[in-house]
Amino acid sequence: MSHSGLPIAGPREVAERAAEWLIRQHASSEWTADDQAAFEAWMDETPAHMMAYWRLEAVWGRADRLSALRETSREAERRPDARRIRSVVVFGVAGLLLLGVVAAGALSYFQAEQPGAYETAIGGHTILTLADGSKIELNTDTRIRLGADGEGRKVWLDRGEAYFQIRHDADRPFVVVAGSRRVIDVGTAFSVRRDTDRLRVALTEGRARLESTQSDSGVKSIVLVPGDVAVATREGVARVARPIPELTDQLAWRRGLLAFDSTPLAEVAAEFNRYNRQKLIVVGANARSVEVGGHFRATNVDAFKRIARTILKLRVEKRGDETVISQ
Amino acid sequence: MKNASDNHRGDGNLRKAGEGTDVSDVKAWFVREVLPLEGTLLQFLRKSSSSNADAEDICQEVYMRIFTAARKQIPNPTKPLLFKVARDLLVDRARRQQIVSIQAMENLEALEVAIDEPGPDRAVIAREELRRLQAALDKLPERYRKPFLMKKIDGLTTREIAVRLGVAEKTVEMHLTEAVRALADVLYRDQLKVGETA
Repeated sequence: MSHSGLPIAGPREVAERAAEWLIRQHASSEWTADDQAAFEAWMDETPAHMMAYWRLEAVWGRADRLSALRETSREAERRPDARRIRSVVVFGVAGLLLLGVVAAGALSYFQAEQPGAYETAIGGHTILTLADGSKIELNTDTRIRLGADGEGRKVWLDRGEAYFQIRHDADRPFVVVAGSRRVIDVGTAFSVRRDTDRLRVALTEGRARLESTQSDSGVKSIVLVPGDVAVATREGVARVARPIPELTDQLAWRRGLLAFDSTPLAEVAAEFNRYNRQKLIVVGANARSVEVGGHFRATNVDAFKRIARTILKLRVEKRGDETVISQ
Repeated sequence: MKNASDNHRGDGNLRKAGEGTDVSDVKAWFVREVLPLEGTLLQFLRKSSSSNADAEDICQEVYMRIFTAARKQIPNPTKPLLFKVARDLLVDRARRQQIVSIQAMENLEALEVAIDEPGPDRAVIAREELRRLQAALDKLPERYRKPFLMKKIDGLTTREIAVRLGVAEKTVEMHLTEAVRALADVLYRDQLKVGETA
């Protein structure tokens, strides 16, 4: 019985095709440019294909949040502090739940067995699985290069931030080079963030060594233990010990989130700006020092703007690609 | 006899970029606003059509039409439009088939009322959905759940999963495909039907 004359397959067949595409794209060992082209052509055939795909993709992405959520609830139990701007915290979490739906599926996975460069765009987030089982999770606007076989296990962080979970191999230490410094793991999980003028290494598990790439630099190498955060600038290296939950908060980007705790608004804006083309500019000393707490989805500037307007009672104006926040 | 229905016939085709709303915005809206209503919509369509498959057909067509509408402008609020489109489609079909089911018409009346009722808060829906997704995952047959978790938690590829489970890579792909479809049905339609095609 033809009920509408639409030249598309029935909904069940469409859903089946959509699921096949989704699985091949996300789980298959091979996904070539031809596959991508064929997939895009299929998506373009009719909106029915697109919507069927989006529907499954949303579920696929949401499933990540299930395990992620278990993690957060454990962290929450360990953290006794209910902080100052309670209403912001509440709104932040509400925004998070709400946006879990929208941004689901943004995370992509790659098998990175080939040497070469891998990068993410602004707002991007990718997990690379290396041949030895080690994982590198790239945050927004990040570029790394994998060394070829002869060079041992070596990764260059050209810019941005990455979280490394390294399979330990005593014979083949894993080395991350960032500018003039390198981090050598001894079986470990750590994050490295490279900004223009500083390098920040935070260790959550195991042990790692941070040293200069020039052996004659006179800079002593330091060994990092869990909770250690080392900040290296041109002047030298400072190390502080931090509670692990705080480090985990700083790794909230792995779940697509930004975590703030009494953070001045100017810093909050700078963090958001790493993830979005739409930039936030905070004007005036009063506005810049307003403190913000809570979790926010990194790519949801709009939710943050709403909170700035309605909770923090600040003026929020859009000017082209920029949003100016002032008192 | 079928004039009202004809004006959207041609809109089924995808409007190419360059006019109206971005497809990415339509996607965000569709996932956020429309999908949570799918269960209610299907329930309504099932009552008013002859079979389950029929209801799913109409649902697909409703989605096509609201997609076209959203490309021009994202509907706000979504619920009234969604159900108006569904209602129009049912009326068209009834006209075309020259059968008017009394029950269907009663449902249409009831619907007018239901549309005006505010739905639950979206944060509540989202939390409820996560809970349901977890429950759905627990309910999945082992042969679907296992590869799904190996993929999601351990980040294995289909080939690696195939090796570990000692089955063909194609089989793993098929089971993952079934798993994600089943999860979507539980999440959005609250019905668990697995392995119909397996």
